[in-house]
Amino acid sequence: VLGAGTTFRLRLPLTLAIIDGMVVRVGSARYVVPTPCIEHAFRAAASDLHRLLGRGECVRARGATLPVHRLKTLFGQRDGVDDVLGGILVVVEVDGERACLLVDEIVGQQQVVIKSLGVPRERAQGLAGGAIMTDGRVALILDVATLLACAREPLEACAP
Amino acid sequence: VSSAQQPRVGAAAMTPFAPGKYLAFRLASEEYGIAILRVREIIGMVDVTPLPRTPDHVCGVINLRGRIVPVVDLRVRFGMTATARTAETCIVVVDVGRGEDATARVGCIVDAVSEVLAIGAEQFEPTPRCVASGDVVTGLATCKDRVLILLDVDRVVGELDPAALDQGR
Repeated sequence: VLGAGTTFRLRLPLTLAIIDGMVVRVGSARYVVPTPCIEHAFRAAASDLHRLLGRGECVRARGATLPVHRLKTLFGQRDGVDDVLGGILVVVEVDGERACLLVDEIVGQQQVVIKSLGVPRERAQGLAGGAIMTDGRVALILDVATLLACAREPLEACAP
Repeated sequence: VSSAQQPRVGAAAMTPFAPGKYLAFRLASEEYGIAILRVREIIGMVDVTPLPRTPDHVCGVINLRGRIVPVVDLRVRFGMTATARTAETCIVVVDVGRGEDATARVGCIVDAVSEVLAIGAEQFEPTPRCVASGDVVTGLATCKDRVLILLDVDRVVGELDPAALDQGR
């Protein structure tokens, strides 16, 4: 019939958003880093690491000098590798900004369903949500953009 | 006894608490009560994933049948020392938010859940003067020989209600 038709609108709940993530471990915690943010990961050599007068560290990776952020420090975690040379550096890129995140190890790549953490976003800075892992526990999904913004500021500025 | 109860009835009329059923639970040596209608369920302790950059009393999040729910340690929330979890430690999952779409859920870690008590109007005690209005404590109730400290769920964990912040409350 000319001029007549049917419109189908399919609305997917937000909880069905699936992302491809890299699961990393820091101490006893697991985090999911969205794969599109990751450039590569590597283990740093002592000669590539430069300490900036107690204001942080930089590492040379593939010709670029990148700031190093310890995920455990950003998240105030007590356990986890502290020595940059003893962990894995994950190079993340978002909006043209690049940085290295120090993690203990990379667990693997997996698709996860993003779920709301149930707390106001202001209370969960640097996090995009949570994912329920195969063992039933919750792993936190990083929001790399706000995480790097937090890393630039002194820690108090981002504290709730 | 009846003469002693006379002033109580008047005080009860002023408290925001309606007679009804309250869930009694224990924290340290005191017993507390919250309106049973706000309680969604009571579960045993499960693995809690810590949530970074949150106040100390926010323990983290748990997986409640596929839904992620934040959990608050009420001991820490009320300034008591945290203790080791026991077999009696449990999580009381409550609904928060005052709106019609009060769907935010928060788990509260308590030392032990005792029972559900029906509290009549005559059992409410006058709110002590040391309790400011707007406090988490909204009143007291006596049940047999026990004193129940009644709590306002929204004020205890309302800061974790996503809608609360949107409204700038």
